[in-house]
Amino acid sequence: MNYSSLAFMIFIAAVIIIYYLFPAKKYQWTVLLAASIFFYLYSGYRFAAFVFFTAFTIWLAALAVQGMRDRSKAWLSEHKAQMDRSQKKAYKKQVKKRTGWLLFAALAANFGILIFLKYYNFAAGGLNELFGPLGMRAPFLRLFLPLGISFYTFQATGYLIDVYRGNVSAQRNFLKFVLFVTFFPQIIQGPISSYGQLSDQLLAPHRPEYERIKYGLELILWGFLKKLVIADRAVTAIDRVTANYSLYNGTTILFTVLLYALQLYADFSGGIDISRGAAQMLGIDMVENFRRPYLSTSINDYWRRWHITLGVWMKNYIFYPLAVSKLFLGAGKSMQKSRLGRTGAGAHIAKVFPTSVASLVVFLVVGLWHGANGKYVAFGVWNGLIIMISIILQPLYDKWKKVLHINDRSAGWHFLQIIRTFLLVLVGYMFDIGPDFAGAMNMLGMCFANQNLPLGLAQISGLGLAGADYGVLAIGALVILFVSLRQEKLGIDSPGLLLSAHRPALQWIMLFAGFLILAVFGVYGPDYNAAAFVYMQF
Amino acid sequence: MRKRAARIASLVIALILVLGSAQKYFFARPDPQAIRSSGFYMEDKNSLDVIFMGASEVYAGFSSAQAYGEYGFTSYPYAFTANPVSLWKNELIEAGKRQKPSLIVMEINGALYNSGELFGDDKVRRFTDDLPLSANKIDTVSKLGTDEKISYYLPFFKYHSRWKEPVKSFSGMQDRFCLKARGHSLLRGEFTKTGSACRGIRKRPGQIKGSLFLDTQARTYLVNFLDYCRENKIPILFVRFPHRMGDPRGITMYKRSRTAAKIIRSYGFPYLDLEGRQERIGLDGNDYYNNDHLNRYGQKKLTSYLGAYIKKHYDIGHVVLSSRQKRQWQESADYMEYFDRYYREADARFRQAQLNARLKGEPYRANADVYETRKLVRRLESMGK
Repeated sequence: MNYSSLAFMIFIAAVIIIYYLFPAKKYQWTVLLAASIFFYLYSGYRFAAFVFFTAFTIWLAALAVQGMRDRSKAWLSEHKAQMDRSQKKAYKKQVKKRTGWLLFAALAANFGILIFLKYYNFAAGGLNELFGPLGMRAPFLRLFLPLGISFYTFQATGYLIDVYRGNVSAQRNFLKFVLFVTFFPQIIQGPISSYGQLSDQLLAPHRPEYERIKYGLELILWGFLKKLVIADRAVTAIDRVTANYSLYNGTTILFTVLLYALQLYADFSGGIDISRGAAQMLGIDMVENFRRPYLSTSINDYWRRWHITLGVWMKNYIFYPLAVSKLFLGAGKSMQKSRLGRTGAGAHIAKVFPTSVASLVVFLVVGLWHGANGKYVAFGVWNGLIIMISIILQPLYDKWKKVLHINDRSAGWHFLQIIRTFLLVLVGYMFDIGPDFAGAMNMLGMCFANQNLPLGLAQISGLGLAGADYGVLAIGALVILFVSLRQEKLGIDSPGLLLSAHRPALQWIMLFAGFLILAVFGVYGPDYNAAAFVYMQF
Repeated sequence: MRKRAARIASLVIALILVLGSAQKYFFARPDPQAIRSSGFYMEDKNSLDVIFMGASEVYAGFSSAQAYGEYGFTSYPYAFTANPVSLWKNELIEAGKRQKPSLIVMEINGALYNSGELFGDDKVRRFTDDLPLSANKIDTVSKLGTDEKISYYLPFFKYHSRWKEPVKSFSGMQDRFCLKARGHSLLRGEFTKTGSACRGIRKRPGQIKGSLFLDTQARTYLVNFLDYCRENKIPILFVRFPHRMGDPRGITMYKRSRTAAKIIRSYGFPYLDLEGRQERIGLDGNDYYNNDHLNRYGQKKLTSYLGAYIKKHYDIGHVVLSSRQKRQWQESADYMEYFDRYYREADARFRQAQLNARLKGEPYRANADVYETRKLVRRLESMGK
């Protein structure tokens, strides 16, 4: 069931009505559970076994970890008088080791499935290239990715790690935990929520509130406008070029990557808005996943504004553990003690070594998360390297700004930073739209070496979109920019809240106009092929 | 609370009104089919002696306005482009809701199609787009193997992309408004084309030997339709309108029509093969605008012939028209004179333009539609003054 379909709208309407009319408020959450299971089975019953395997193993592992820890605490307090400090320390270490192995086993099982389904054929291809000449060939398998596997795996394992760290208590009720893993507004493409943030809301009873439902609907409308008017319109032209980029010149490719930047943002953020709006109407606030990413002033800032919840997950469960690990800290300390570490620059590099290398590793994982292809690795390395180099060269940047008398609070400097960041992001997008790493590099090269405006314009006019469509896209981009600037200036994220700042008559006119624009200009119906949400494939 | 409810209700009502009107007039098929279908529903109830049904051969080949002028019986082409046999029963039911004609004339082309042509999206929409919501519409749509059924009930889902053709859509909207303002179709579903797109050497039925089987699915639908007509005692005449038969497809269709004729006759229904009567009708190679359809010159001859045939062999003319209805029908017949004059001039100009293009080696010009548009009606009115 596509989020941008009429069927989903009917489904969510039915769920809302049943949810709020459900008589036993204490068990209201069972309506969400039933709806989530129905949604998952309807969207692909063949995959249900995978999500239930994840839910069961993680739930069980979390209970086991917490149980082990609680029992050990109880035993320790019972016997602490008979134990000295070293004995207590050894006992705690042993318990930590056991719970660690339990954690590892559960993570390995679930990530193992994800890695196998996502990367087996990629690995087989690589191995065949290496060992094929020796007569050894790994078979390619017909594998499918269960719906939302990346998202629910990350979400569930995040919960388990939080239980392991003692940040949250394990959920004893299996069905309540299944709801957390399968909650339907987020299962397809996130946001990846933390257990602490989401679970209480899911399980608490809710009453219908006019403002919530209104803002939720407005968020859904905004999401639909981005998805159906902009994203699904732009994808026609993008697919034409990416299917065979060698037929097009550098101008067209540059135009395509710009269009892709618009399409990707509209598609992903539009889908998230629909998800969050649906959840909001049910009284549940899901975390934001986008915060005007193209207004970022650095790549670091970009990743704090783009796919925010993935970044938070990576930060909490990969970056921090790596950065404060014995290995990385030890390496940093070794560098500090070395001859390099005694120089000014070397001391700085040694100091930031753990965080900068950890960042690179994180983005390597982010790249791989996107797909089993060398181009995604390159994407991750590109972003990771920029961040790593930025951290290392920060003192140099500060020095240059002082020497050149650059006021980094000025509007001009801010604007330059935004443009610079956007250009760096566009290079990363080239890896997204290229067929592979070599293709992406070719396309990048063509953007510089193969510019021809008249030819490019002629090619652009033959990409399957009429002039009127490009007009709609241009106006749509301007509207998104305008709204983003308003949100940034006022610090208001919700489009509904932004709208409510105006007079009621104007609000209703804008709502009316929004629905009309969606109805007339939306890409839906038999004349169009509905484009799947980009991030569904992950 | 009341204020909020009122605001929400106002928003919803405003959206329904605006989109509903837009669907009916702007985001609608701006083509002759729409005018013809709308015109049928505007005919007064039980005012038609004869209803012609079938595919495009029907409305290209027979002029109801001319027939009234010559023979005094009322008729209407309740026919649709590429109309397949799979929809005949639903169409008959629909026609029967408003009219009790003395005779149904069914052109059999739709029974000669392949199975892939029986449920095309476009074919069904030509029938369903102007069909009011009813059990018959639900039955028709339910036969389709598509998930996009909602667009058959709310055509807006299909046609909202017409915003990219505002001129065409606006022009179509004007045509519909003009029709609605008059309250009835002036030219009674009249349609023809200028120019000629005939290819290949014209074949006579006598030169075509043998017959071919009907497609299995088409045959099944034909038989079901015949059963329905027999059970409900429908007064129906099956016909095969004349074709130029200058291409292999035309010859295939004619051979299939011989098989269809056998089946129809075996059910005891009359079958009139006008293919074999082209000389009698007076048709020649100049009477077609393409291999399958008569132009206005051919339409005039066929209408005279078929009108006389129906008048002679069938007990029609039982409809008692009011003075208003008689006046309107006479007006339609009178306007056919102006229509003929207009057509002669337009056709001559178009053929000259086609010839010039051919001599210059330029791309071939497609035939131009001539039907009841606002522009045409104004032109005819000015001719009448």
